[in-house]
Amino acid sequence: MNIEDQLRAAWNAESGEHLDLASLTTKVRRHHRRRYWQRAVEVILTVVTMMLFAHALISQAMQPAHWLLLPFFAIFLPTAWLLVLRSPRLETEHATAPTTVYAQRRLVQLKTSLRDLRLARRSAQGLLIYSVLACVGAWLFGDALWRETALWLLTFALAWLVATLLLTRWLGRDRRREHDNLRNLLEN
Amino acid sequence: MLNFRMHSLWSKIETCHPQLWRAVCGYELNPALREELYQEVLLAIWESLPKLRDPERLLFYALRIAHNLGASHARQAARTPGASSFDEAYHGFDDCSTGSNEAQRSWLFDVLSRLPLNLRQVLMLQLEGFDYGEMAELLGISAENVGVRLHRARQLLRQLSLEEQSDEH
Repeated sequence: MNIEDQLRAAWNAESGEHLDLASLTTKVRRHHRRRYWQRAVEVILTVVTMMLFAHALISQAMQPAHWLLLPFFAIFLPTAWLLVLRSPRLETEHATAPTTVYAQRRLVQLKTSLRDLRLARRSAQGLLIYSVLACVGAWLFGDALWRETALWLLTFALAWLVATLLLTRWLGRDRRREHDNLRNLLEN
Repeated sequence: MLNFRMHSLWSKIETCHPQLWRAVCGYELNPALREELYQEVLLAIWESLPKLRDPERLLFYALRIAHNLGASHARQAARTPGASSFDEAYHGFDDCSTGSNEAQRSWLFDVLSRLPLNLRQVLMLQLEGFDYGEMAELLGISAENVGVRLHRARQLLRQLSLEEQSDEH
């Protein structure tokens, strides 16, 4: 038997007969359903957060908390949108396209996503700088209420920065790997 | 509109199962991750089935999805610890025992995982029995390019096999 036949025999010997197709179908159906609900929850959470903040702005007098926390929401919401809702989800029509077309389209998605992750890191760093400045200002010129609010803002900003760095590092590693894979596919 | 119902062609996916599974194995060596990737592929096929115009091309359509997703998922230059060498697999090849088949499969997928993705894909498709024209259509490249990639893949395969043999001696 020559090497060609050996390779083909080894290839055909792998048939995945150990897999239970019925249970796989159940899992796929469950996964499919979960995706819909996940998307719905993301949209609901964003809308609720925006409504809560809009309500606070409209119905109450502007207090220190509002002024200081305004940038937190201004950074938090766009970043959450960038990271979650604009994540490079696989589109059905991309996956069914010829491989080179798929790779080109997906590369564009991944480049945008990597840029979004960079933006998320920069915005979290910007928020921290703002909260440090706000803290210094509150300590120098503000009363107890301003100081307490500024400390809360600093705490949130620190937590937000740590979470953003961890998340973007994890997501960035996977997306860079996929980016390199697909770039490799387009080479001749 | 939520649509969780099965497409009428879903039952026929079962006939493509061995080919799809082999494609997945070519991109992932870890058994647990293989099953995960396989589920991802099945999910993408599930979602894409309504767009399939010619049911006769189900295997081609499903395999294209599997290769696209596999390429996205693959870890470059992955290696399984303790994978068998071709030599070891070769000596046991005529023996029909499960062990030798296992060794040979293990060697094949190990060596495939060390090929660059663009070469790995054409080799896997050829092993699956596709001709140059079909491979070109599936990958979106010219038939000449398929030939060039196959030639390079085989050269690299030989080189890897020789390196393994020299490592053993």
